[in-house]
Amino acid sequence: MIARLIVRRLMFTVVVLLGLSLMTFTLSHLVPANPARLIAGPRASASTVEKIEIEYGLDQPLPRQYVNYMKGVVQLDFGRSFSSRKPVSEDLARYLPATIELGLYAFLLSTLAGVPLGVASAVRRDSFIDHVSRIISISGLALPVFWLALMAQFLFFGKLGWLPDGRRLPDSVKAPPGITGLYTIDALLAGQWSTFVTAVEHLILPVVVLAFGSLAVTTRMVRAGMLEVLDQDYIRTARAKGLARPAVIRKHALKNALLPAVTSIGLQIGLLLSGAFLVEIVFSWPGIGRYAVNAILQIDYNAIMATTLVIAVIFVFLNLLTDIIYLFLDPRISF
Amino acid sequence: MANTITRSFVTAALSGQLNRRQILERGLALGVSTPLIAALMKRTPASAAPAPQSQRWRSGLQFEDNGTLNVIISSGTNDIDPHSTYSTMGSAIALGSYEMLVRYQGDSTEVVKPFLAESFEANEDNTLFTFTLPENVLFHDGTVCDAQAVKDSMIRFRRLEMGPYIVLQRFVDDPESQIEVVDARTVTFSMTRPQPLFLAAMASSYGPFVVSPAAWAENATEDDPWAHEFISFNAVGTGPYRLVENITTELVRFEKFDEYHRGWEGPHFSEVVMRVVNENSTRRQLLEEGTSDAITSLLTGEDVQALSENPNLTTMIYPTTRVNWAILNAVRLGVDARRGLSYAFPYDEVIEGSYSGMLERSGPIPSTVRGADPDVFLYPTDLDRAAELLTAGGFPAGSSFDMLVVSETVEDTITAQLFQASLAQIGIDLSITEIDLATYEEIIFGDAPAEEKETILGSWEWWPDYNDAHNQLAPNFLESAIGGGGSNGGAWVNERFEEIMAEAEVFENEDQLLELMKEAQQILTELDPPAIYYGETLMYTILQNDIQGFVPNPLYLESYFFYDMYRVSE
Repeated sequence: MIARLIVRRLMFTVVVLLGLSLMTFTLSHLVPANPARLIAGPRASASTVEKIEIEYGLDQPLPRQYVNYMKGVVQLDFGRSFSSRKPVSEDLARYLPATIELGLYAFLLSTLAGVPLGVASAVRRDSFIDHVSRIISISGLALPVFWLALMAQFLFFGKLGWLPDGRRLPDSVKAPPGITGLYTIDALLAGQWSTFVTAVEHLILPVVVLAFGSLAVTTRMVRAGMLEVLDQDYIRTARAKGLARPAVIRKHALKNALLPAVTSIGLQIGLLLSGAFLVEIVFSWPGIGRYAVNAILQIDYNAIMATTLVIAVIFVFLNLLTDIIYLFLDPRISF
Repeated sequence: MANTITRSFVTAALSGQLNRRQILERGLALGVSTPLIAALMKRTPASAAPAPQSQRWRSGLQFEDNGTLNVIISSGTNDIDPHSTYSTMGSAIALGSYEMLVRYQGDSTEVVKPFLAESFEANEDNTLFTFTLPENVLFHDGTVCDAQAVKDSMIRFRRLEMGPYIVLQRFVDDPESQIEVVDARTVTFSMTRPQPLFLAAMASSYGPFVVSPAAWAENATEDDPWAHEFISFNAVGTGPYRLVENITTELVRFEKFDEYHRGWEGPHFSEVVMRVVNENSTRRQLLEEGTSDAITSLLTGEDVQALSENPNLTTMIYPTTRVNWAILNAVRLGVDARRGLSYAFPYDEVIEGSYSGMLERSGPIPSTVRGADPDVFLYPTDLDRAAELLTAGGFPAGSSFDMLVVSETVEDTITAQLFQASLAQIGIDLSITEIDLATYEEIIFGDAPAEEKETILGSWEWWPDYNDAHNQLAPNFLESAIGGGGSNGGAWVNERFEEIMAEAEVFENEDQLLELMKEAQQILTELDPPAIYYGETLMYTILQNDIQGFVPNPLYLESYFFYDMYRVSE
């Protein structure tokens, strides 16, 4: 069943990506701007602008530009970025790991903290911990991520000086040898303990800010699921049979309550990726979000297309993973 | 450290200060912790940020290493080829790694001084310029920079025909024959007619840098004979700092070039990092925390105000050669309407409200540029006169105008809103359309007919490549600057102005230029205004108090001469 699901999803992904590429290409070209002028600068002559148009194939008709681009994409060649003037694939290799590292830890934090908090909140309904959990949930959902980022930076860097302002590492520290591109892991693999500690210090603020919104959703979903399950007859039966409360919660309630939460956690990836755009700007985090924002401002067609496609692939893949986890959690489900 | 602990433990045990239980407990703890501490210390580098070691330079003269200078910038640039890049950031990076033969001295826009050249001279009628190079100048690739390298570099600048090449072309259109290598250290530039502005142009930070000919020769290809692709990413100049890292969205890093021809005696930075910071509030915090040393512009008026009161920081405010104005659509608006709009503009409110006082009223030529008329006509805000002229121009009360605003620029939006409020007082409506910068530039430079464009084409700013009024006016107001040839987006054409500019381009003496420019400014302001001039920009640089040696020059916008800067110790 899993193999069939994967094949079906992969076929579906191709269609999604094709549609998405066409839509992104059309939308980005609808802007009545000339990227060659932006590359050349406002003071450049018309002949310089023309040279740049030819260099980047911008003088070609739009359908041809699209076909040429897609031919390249099939061979994993995303063209050349107008803003960095390097192959986009090279840029992605540079910036994507930074976003993955940020997103991964934010995801882990929001899940590892959100699930127990949701459970505790449901089990001890209307207690102090429930109130705290609800405050976290509501503020996580209500506070815009950019505002939270600015405030966190202001407080913990600007006022208290406890944490660094952002970036992956300070200018004076060399990045660890690139194995995974994730500095924390690479530093550990290379045995660079102090670099690891510095990288972690730099991760704390952006990760916490990014995870906050997602933590709120996870907590709410788990709490709601647990409240519903805890009210079921089979839970009462289990308790009546003399099973200890922790065992009932862990073995009987949590597994069932997690089903809707898993879907929600899977969808959180989208929230994390979109949040990363803003968090990366505030914390000067050299990730794909910051790269994409810059690409949009520069009307960098190739970079815009590539980041859109890559994010779409990540999103589709992780949702597929969620569905597979779903199958394991509840064998009754079929796709 | 472990040895010290062990020694003190043994001493204490032997002297009877510890009982048997304590000896056992502490011995066990020591046995476990000693190898652990030793392993951790072995793994840990001495410091995550190794302090730069002080160095000595030549004959025992002291090079005082000031460590790293950290500068905040808003973005890097994808083209660091000094012969093609045409942006303030491209120019700022070039000034770190490359040198022109001459540069403007200190804060002067008039006086030039040797930079790469050791000395220079012009003949009496300004038709021959001779530059002498110092001995033993090396490029960052180790090759020698001699007179031939200077000539080859200028040929590349002219023939690449990109970016700012007109800076040289105006004076040296045929570098192969006009530039002569006299000997290894002497190079002459001969003009086809007297050129009093040649030295001013050679001091421009747009283009006339000397690039290693060996570097481009080695990397040239059939399609790219000037190795533009290579030089776009690799700086190979003679400047004091070697570019070691340039990541457009992150940072630009320079390291001191040990073989720099002016030597390293005295205090200098051994490293310069220009860091991209996108967020205003982050920029401010980095300065307040002392993490960054300098910033030029890039802050809100409120932040500048707050930082100027910070006792740890020094705020320098200085004039520039940049003028801000709003482009008027000369095809849709007659002279009376354009003059009427100029009278309706709330200058004082805009200067205070939009620009936080960082503008000074001026005409199209800033006071820092040769040819500026000190008595240029400046429109006052006079709504009665405005209503009169607008009615005469076909726009009575109840009429409406439309104005473009670049959404990324807060100043533009506030300016438009203040103008809207001012026009509303005489019954005129101003509708504001916000667009992004790329679209805006396409409207200004694109070849769409002016009839299809808005009546007020938003806020614009311009500064000359070098100290020359013609260079300031030509790209904005000549007929040839319409539709891609420049930024005459309002398609303004004035025959007398065209004649004046043709004469000013080939002027031979200062008095003649001043007369011509006086008349040009009268046309551009009082008689037939193509724009509403807000004023010339005042720029600010905020530095940590211990940073010295920064001298702002009105022509080198947002740039630093890193070699001249240093850090004073407490």
